[in-house]
Amino acid sequence: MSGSNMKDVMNRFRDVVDTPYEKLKLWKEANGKKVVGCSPMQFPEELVHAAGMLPVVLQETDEAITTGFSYIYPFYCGITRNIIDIAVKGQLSFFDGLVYADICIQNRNAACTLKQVMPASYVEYVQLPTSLTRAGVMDDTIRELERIKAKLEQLAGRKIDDTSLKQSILVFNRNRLRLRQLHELRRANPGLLSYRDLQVIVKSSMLMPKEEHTELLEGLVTQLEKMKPSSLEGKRLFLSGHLCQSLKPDILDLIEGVGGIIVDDDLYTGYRYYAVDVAVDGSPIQALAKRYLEKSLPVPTRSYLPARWEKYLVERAKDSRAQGVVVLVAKYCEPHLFSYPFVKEALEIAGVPHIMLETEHEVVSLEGVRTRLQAFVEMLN
Amino acid sequence: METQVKVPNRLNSVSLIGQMMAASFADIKRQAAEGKKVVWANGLPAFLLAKGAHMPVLHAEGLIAGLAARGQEKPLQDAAEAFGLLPDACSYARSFIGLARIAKGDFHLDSSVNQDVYSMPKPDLYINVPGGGCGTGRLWGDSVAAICDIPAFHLEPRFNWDESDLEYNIADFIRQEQELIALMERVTGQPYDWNHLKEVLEEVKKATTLRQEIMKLCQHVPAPASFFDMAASIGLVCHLVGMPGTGDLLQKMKGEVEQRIAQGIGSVPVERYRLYWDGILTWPRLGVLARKFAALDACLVVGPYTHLLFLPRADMIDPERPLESIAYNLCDTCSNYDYTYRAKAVADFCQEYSIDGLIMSETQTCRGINSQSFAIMDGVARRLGLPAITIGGDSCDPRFYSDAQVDTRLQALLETIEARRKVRQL
Repeated sequence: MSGSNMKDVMNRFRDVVDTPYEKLKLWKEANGKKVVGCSPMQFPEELVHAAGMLPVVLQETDEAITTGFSYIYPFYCGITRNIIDIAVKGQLSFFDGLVYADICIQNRNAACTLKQVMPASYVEYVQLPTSLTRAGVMDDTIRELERIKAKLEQLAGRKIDDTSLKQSILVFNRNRLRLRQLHELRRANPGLLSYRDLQVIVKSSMLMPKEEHTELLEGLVTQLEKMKPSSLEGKRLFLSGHLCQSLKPDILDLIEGVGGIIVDDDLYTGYRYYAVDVAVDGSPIQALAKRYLEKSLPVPTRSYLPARWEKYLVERAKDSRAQGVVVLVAKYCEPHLFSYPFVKEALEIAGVPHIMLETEHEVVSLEGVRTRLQAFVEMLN
Repeated sequence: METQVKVPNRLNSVSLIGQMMAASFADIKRQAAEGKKVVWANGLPAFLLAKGAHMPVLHAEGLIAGLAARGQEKPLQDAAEAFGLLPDACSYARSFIGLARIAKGDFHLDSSVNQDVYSMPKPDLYINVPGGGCGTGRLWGDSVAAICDIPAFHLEPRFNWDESDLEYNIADFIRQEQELIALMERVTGQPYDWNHLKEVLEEVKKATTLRQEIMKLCQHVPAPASFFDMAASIGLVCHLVGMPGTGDLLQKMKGEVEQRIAQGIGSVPVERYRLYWDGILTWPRLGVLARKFAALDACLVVGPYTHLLFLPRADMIDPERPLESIAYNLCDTCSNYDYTYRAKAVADFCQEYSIDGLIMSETQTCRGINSQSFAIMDGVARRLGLPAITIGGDSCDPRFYSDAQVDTRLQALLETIEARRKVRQL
């Protein structure tokens, strides 16, 4: 792949990410396949893929919230308000189905509101166990996955057998593997690719057919492997937060603009999306359940006191040799609001400097954020 | 706007609830001092299962709402905010996490503060029973558990996405109850006392049945008791659930209500407007709001928070089947269904209680209770031809409340009701 090809690939990814729903609508018309929107984080997209449909992870758009305020208060998080707003405006009507997972109360409310405002659409709610120390969680998880599988079969009009589900798992694992390779390449040499571009690549993976994305990504990774490292001057930073929604690029520009180099992350539209594969031996449903229960990274939307998120986060930040951590809290995100005090305490005890920034759907006062970031970067050793 | 001219006719028996609550907090301290293992809990009263383990329960909302109503919530919120909790987080949870920090000795109150009010025994177990499947309860429980280094159990009803889910969800809830009981046996080192649980359920049945009867009596015009009285009575079926004397107090309350009906006495001196209230009360402005409505000849008569959330299915309580009784009261209730179910309940309320207008209270740090406000306004109020407004507020954080905004919107609501009455008379 040449340099110009790399540019083409990035442009293709950007094109998908910039106007996701318009592109998906066009894709659906061109391919005649059903498209299912999945709420972020816990739902295994592989199930939708195995039913011959295109799974995509619902993304927050930049559109100003207007009509949606007739359905939701302003003190709900950005992605919840935005999805309801664009649903009310009819922008999600092309989806053949929407699958929401129980990750927080706002996600549940979003599912209920979508069911109400999109009466002609299929909206499903997935309740995987959230208390992981409870007895019988494996059986409960398998039961719920089987229930959703049956619903998806109905929607797709075809059976999901073990062979097709295993095949889908392989397709997704391959994409995750390439994303991890890219992540490691960039981690070793952040000058290879801007963090903003890395975000574009991950988000596009959530919005494109995995097979196509992997093919483009493989070419990109091969090319990046051959590139000469270009060293960057600046303070090494680790990004954490935004548990289920993507970051606005403005904040990334600010971080890099004040002399920060983002060397690693713990974001949903980052490492968390591709960190863990699904096993391919044995029952595929059981493998999906095991991934959810035993292999997923710690996250505050699920209760598991023995493995608290903050401990994991400190280890990751230290492992990345970051000089500081930028904690990005999506305003009104309760799982993050309640976790932040513990994250703060753990980072302080570990001697890792951090700054917490609240982000909003409506980007406000970037100058204030710039000043805080600048001060933070300047104080880092 | 005219205020404090006419004062609300609060039920005399309601003041006894406050005394009973205060005595119970003192009793929790006493039992802890005697070596009893203590439970801290939040949410709905399924935590009454702890009674069978002879563990005293400190119920978060029961304590915090009372403190907030007396303007004593701030030190707790200061303790939580000093830890790093932002004010956007649920103010009940924030306050309780502040209490946990104080109990653990991680936060020291200013010497000017009455220390006794905030000094509660450190918990040995946390039980989270979220209302309406609120995931925030889980975060809240885990936070207290992490601070106090204790186990947390999340007794969470699965949401009835389809009505056909109910049977499985009840069975699932019963499994959770059994698991909690086994955990409590491990914590106390004692076998569970099923006979005591049945005795407790007898009292719960009596109290919840009486409470339902009182609420039904408020369909009478003028309403003999208001939403404010019924909000206070939540304590009898929540923090004080199953305590000896709760049924008797509700019996007294019912007698008072019946007497008022016989004498034609209403909960407000002049009842010109009968209103529905959706959401939690702004507890720190409880008195202000009660006086405001009375002054405007308006009575808050009914709302899902008081009428449908706390053990609303007295008919399903059978002391011989305690786990099933509790499961039905958690799973088969309005808050555990989506809009369609709730809209029907609200429409029924509006008709049964002769409602003139609806108030949707924005509980600004609670993303659970508000979720369907607009849907109710759109699908119920407009369909029934009733005006509806939203007003700002919060359960326990007065910073989210503005008197001026509430006055303006209330005035608009009452004027709209008047205008529609005139149109109907033409």
